[in-house]
Amino acid sequence: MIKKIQAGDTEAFDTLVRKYYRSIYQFCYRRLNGDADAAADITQDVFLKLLENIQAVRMLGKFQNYLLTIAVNTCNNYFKKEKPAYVDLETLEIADETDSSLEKVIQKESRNAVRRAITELPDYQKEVIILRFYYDLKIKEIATITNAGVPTVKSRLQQGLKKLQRYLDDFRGGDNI
Amino acid sequence: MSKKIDGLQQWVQDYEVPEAPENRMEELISMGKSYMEGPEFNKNSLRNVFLSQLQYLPVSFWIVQVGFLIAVIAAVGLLGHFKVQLYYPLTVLAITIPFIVLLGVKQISKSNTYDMWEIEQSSRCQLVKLVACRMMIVGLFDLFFVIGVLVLMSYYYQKPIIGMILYGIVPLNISCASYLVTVTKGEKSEASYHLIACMVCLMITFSFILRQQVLFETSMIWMWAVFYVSSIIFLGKAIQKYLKYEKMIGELTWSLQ
Repeated sequence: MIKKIQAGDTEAFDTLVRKYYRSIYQFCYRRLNGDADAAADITQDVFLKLLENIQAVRMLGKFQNYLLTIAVNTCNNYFKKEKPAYVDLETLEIADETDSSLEKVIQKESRNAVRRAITELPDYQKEVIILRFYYDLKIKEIATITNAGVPTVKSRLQQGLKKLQRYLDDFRGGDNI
Repeated sequence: MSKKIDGLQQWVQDYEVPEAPENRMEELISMGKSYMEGPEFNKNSLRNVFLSQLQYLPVSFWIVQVGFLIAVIAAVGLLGHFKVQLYYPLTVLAITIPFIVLLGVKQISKSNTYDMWEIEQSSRCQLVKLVACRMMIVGLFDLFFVIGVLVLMSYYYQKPIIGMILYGIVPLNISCASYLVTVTKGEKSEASYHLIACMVCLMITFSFILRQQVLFETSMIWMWAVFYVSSIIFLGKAIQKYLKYEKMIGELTWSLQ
């Protein structure tokens, strides 16, 4: 597919975007603390950057990882230019007035808690956690994507996990009360 | 610990992301398509890589090459003017060819001999593509250089131009192939010494061979044609192996990253 795009096949680009758009958008959304507009802008930048450098693309690994590398760098550049927008997590919730069973309420609370926990992680821990848990990537792959050493990624992951665990314990503790 | 991580993993999955905006995706596809149809697309084409590599070769390299070209043309012109034996201008070429080719090969293999491939890899452009472009630039310059001198010699010595070109191109091909084999096979840290040793061997061999008057008789032109074909095959194999070696380095770097 990359070869086709390199040769100027626009349909191949169409197929590629439809295949990977959702995955990259999800990364950007989580990385940008749930800012949907910014996530769509960054996702657009990722694919346009890919097009600008399409002749230099060397496919030796998973293509999604290549896109994630661009996404990580684009998100980091975004934060360098703009102050991160912290979205009010309550407003993101889709109101469900009709179904207010206990299970649903707990699920909603859990969703809010995990969003808050990930949002409050430092950026370098956040990207490692997102790549590890939502993309199921290996430490070595995360190291390549984030341009960091394997020990650094391991340490960021451990620190991030500890913080998340604390949040989870707090959440469960709160639940129990 | 593993149980805790499993629990965490399950918990983080609760972070749902809303559906990707369909309209933004369609907008992106249309933007991408218009970009692909515009003039900016394919800026990293082979032509652009070629031009970038032309800039990569240092000015000092071109000064030395052009200096040599002028000196050799002057020497051949002078020898031709005084109608000295053909052996002498051929000896000048026999010494010059391995030297100018060595200068070119050192520029081409700079990435390996000085461990610069890490920097060049960061450009995300295939190292083998860059090397092939450099090889083409330097090779074409050397080819025109040698052909120019040979045409001048054929003019002074009234020899058939095809025969005269073969006398120069065969040593040129052999020199290029020998250096490439030396770089591919030899130890990286000692590449410079090996290349210089190779240059001395080539100079001595060519000077000795070109002394044999019998080789320059008109009847021997077929033998030179055979030499030429053999040297082209040898050079082709050497280039293929060298580019494979460069590609291997490129892929190794990617894996290490």
